[in-house]
Parts: sequence; C-alpha cells; structure tokens
Amino acid sequence: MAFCWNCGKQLEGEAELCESCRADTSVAAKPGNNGADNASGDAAGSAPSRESLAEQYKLSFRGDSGTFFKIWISNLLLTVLTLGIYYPWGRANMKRYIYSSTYIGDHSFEFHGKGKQMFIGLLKFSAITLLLFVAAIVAMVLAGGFGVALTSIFLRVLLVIAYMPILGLFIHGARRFRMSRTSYRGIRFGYRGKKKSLIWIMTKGALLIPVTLGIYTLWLINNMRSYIYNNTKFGNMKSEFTGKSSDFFWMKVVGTFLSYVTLGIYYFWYKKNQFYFFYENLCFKKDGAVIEIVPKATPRQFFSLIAGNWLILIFTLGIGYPIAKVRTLRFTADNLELVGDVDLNTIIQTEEQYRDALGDAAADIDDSADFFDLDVF
Amino acid sequence: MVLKTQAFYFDGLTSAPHNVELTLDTSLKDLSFTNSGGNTVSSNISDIKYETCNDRMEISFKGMEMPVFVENREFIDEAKSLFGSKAGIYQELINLKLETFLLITPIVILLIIAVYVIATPFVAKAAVTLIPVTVDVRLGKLFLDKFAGETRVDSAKTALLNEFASHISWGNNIELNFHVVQSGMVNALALPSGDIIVFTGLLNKLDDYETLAALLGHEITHINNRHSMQSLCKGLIGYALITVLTTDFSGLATLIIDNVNRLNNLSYSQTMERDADDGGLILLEKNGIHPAGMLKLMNVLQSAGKGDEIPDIISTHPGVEKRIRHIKPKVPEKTYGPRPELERLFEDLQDNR
Repeated sequence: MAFCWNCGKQLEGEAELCESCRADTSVAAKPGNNGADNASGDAAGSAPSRESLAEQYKLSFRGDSGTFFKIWISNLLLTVLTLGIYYPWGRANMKRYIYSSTYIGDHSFEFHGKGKQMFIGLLKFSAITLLLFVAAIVAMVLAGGFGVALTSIFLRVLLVIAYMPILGLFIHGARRFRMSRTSYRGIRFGYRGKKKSLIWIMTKGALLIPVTLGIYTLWLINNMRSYIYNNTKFGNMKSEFTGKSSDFFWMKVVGTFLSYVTLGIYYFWYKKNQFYFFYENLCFKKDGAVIEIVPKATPRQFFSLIAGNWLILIFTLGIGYPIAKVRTLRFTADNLELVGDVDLNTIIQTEEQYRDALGDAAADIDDSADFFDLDVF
Repeated sequence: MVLKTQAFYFDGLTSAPHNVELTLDTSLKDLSFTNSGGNTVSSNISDIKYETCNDRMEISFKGMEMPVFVENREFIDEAKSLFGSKAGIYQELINLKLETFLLITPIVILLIIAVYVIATPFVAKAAVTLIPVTVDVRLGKLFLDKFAGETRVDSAKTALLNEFASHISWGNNIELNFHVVQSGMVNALALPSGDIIVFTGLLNKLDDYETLAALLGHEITHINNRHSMQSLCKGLIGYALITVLTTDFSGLATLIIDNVNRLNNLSYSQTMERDADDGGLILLEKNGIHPAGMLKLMNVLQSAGKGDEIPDIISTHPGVEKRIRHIKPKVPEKTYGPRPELERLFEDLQDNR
C-alpha cells in the first residue's frame, strides 16, 4: 500500500500524481534522480535537503547593465517606430530580464506575462481613462449653464468618486496579473484579495485625503500595501505584512522634516528607514514555519547608491539609466537576507491554486497601474 | 555527435527541481531527456523554443508546459549554434554587440525627438477634428463667466464694437461676441467660445479702423482655427507620448523631459500666433481693408512696450520685432477703397472715451 510522500493520502494504484494534492508520486520513488549532483536535491518527504537553508536563501541579482542597456534601447527603438504600440511588449521584456536575473539560492524568478495580454490590458486602462475624460467634458458641457464654481466642484467630485475606486479596481487586476505571471521554482504566486476591498480602501482615501489635507495619503498607501501583501500566496506559503500605518506616517513625517532641516543629510537615514520598514514587516509563512527578511544596508551605503546614481544620470544625460537601475537592483539583493526554517524544496501548488492561476491568466488586465508595486516581488 | 549535460526542470506542483540528463544529437537534430516519471521526452530542434539569460538556457519543448534549464556553458554554445537564432526583431537586436548600441542609441534619441516634434502636432490636429465645436464653446463660456464677475464691461462700447464687426465678413463657424472691458491693460483675447475681449487700454491706442480690424482678424483667426483646443490636445498628447517613452526613466530625466515639453508647448503657441497674424492679414485682404493695419497694430504694441521684455524662448508670443519682420513682406503696395461705415464706428468708439 503506497502513501503520498507529501500529504499522506493513500495512492491509487500506479498513479503518477496523487489525487489529493497532485504531488508527483515518482519523486519519492526515485530519490537522487539520475545521479545528479545538483545542490538542490529532491523533496524526499521530510528528509532535509543536501543544500543548507543559508545557501537556499541567498539573494542575488545576476543581471548586468550592458544587457539591460541593450534591452532598454531596443525597447525604446521599437516603441518609437511603432508610435508607442510596442510599449507593453517592451515592458514584458524588461520584467522578464529583471525577474530572471533575481535569484534566491540557485534559482531565479520567472515572469510569464506576454506583451499581447499587457497590450489588451493597457487598451482597457486607456479606454476607461479616456471615457472618464470624455465624461468630464460632457459634464462640463451640460453643467456649463450653472457657472464656473459649481462646474469645477462637480468635476472634482466626479474625479474623486469615479476615478479613485476605478484605480483600485485596476490595481487589483494588476496585482492579480503580476502575481499569476510570477513564479519561482515553477510555483506560481497568487493574489487572492477581493476587488471590493481595494476599491473600498481607495474610496476611503478619496474621501478622507482632502478632509485631512493630504495626511491620510500615508494611511492609504500603507493600507493598500498591507491588504495586498496579506492576501498574496506563493504555493502553500503566504506573505504577511505587519507594518502599522501610524508607524509609517511618523517615519515619513519625521524623515521628510529632518531631511529638510539638515539640508538633505538626514535623507539617507530616511531612505534606510523606509527600506527597513517595508522589509522588516514582510514575511512568508507556511504551516507555522516562517521566512523573514532582514535588511542590512547602512545610511552610508544608501548615500553611495543614491549619489552614485544621480552622478551617473547627470553625466550621461539620462542614457546611463540602465547602470543606475542595475546598481539599485543589485543593492537591494545584496542588502536583504532571508532567515527562516522553511525548506524551499517543499513548497507545493495545490489543484485549487493551479486553477486560480489559470483563471488569472484569463483576466487580461496588465500592470501599468502598479504604483504600489515594488520590483522585488 | 551526441552531447549530454545536466539539466533540471520544475513540474509546477512542487518547488523541488527534477534533475535530468539532456541529450542533444547534432546529426539527428534531436533533443531528449527522461523525466522523473520514466518517460522520454524528445523533440526535433525545429520545434524547440529557447531563451538565454545570465549564462542559463531555458528550453521549451513542444507540448511541455514547463521549460528545462541548462547551465553548462559549452552545451549552451553548441546548442545555440545548432538551434539557430530565434525569429523576431527584438531577439535580433538583443543579440547584437553592446558596441553596436553606441551607434543605435543616438539614432533612437533622434527618432524620439523627430516623432515628438512631428507626430505630436499632427496627431493633435487630427484629434481636434474629433472633438465637436460645442466643447470649445462651453470651455470658453466657463472662462467668460469667471471673467464677467471680475471686470468692468463698457456696454456702450461693446455695442459699438459688435456693430463694427458686423460689417466685416470673418469666415467664422461659431457665433462671435465682442466685449469691451475697462482696463489699462494693452491687450485683447479670444476665447474658444467665440467671445473676444478687447481692453480699453489697447483700444484707445489704436490709430484707425484698419488697425482695429487687424486686431479683430488676428483674434478671430485663433477662434476659426481652434487654437485653444489644439493647444489642449497637443499638451495632452505630448504628455502621453512622453509618459510612454520615459516611464522607465528616473525622476530627474522625467523632470528634464517634462520641461522640454513645456518649452515646446510655448513654441507651438508662437506658431499659432504667427498663424493668427497670417490669418488676420488674409481676412483684411478679403474684406477690402488695407493689410497695413496689421503693421500698424504691431507698432502700437511695440510703442506700448509689449512683448519685448520676455525672451522669445519662454514667451507664448514671438517678439514684436520678429512679427513685424514676418508681416512686412506680406503687406501689398496697392490701395484699398475707403470704408466710411467702419471709419464712423471707429470714431464713435474713440469719442466715447
């Protein structure tokens, strides 16, 4: 009687895949496949991997600015020649390269988004924006008889009530798309948040930001981030973000204030605090085990990065952008450490998650509205 | 020749890699491996899709959802030469040497500039034709409302000016309304709604009816050619184009480019002003009024010290000197018949001072 190495359910005859969790039954049946001496071994049940967790967890960015420059210029050239139409394909190219160059251990992320899907999504996004613009004009034409003051209030209200929630909808779609098109070690990410939640958060923002003279914006940003990262899955792992909006607010306010008062010197401490705030409050969990992120950079290192990038951009009149971008990506990878007790060979994708990913694949919304997204995930 | 190498793939169900041995038969042009289920997966290399990134090759077999990864340098080089280059202009570009890009880059920059300079006004003009004139009118009325509340309209002179204008054929497609406003400002402006405002500061400095007609002709040309709407569209399209091309730029580059866009918008305004001068000349000519009126208008502006303080490059109007130089050769030598009704109305406008 054979049992699934992964979930323990009884296997049906000679089935290749477990009916319950779809784990490959042959994996455990043939340990040490083909005598490979690849450091990442097989997920042979609870047997520990030959590779240490530290080796598994090592973050690195292996891209180089030369290749990135070629990709960037090629994209620009094709975008100009097609009067902008190539733009989504260009973005897909960039993302693919960045993801494929970002490694955890010996394996990189993969981006599966296709230019065509992103193009359709971009069209939808543009169409809705254009529609809102036309609606504003129509509103102006109709309300014109009521005078300027009333019309401008009307337009402002329309913008807030219509656009912010719609943006929430787009961010939702963008996240779903990006997560479903992101994989690591063959396992897809997934965003399981509800549409109405992001729409509601954005609507609240639309209403409270003017009332609080802009202060609520910081709550909005943190609430969005919090919701998104608390509803993101990676196979049977899930992410969690515990950063408090009030902490975020103080960090930003104090940071901005002190940066001005010190004529910019504090700015690098401020950037460091922002970096730490995000990563220290983010973790990945699986069945009670956790992977945490430990940021390491010092303000001085931030100074090197930022000042260096500015010099590069100024002296190359912007052409050196790929160098600055690669520097930043490498900096991020070099200054983050993953710490935890999850064997990265033991993540599984359930049937339900797999189907969800396919469902997402049918949702043709692109991630052009990814204001709240960071490139690491 | 038969090449073998270590490779691995993920099955999409668990995160553990499956290590396999990949076999490439260069004579049979066949690539194969045995998966962890014991089945042999093989394919002719013509059905293979591949991508290389950071010393790693990703091979997609037809019908297999997950790719196979190879990290063996020699195998990758051999396989690449056998597989041939992938179709697609993007791949061709990426495979070029980095040095070649030092040549491509300036070409790309020039192309971007060319598209921006040529395509934007062209697309803006096309976009304007899609927008109904009613929108122009509404936009203009919005401003007029604001204006009316803040200025002193001289109703007597307004009536006179409207009568003056009614004797001239302007080729307009929307209703024109003229307003005289009491103000020291030496200026006049045209709203897209067909409302033209002339300040007494300028009105009192005009010498004769030809100059007044030239002024009105200039302003009405703005309206006839829908310059306001063109400006709006051009600004939006220019901005959209810039956003698309530079989204991946840093804040600094975007800032620079944004300001270039702003400067460019100003120069477009200068083009429109020149168009209005030209249009005004044509309207005068068509109505049998001496186009020299336009020159006289320029002289009035010059003596009022208008338009010379601001350097051309950041002004919405070309400098008066420049305008005079442009208009002078277009003023014909011939004489034009008198227009007593216009002369009378003009006198009335001045008399009520």
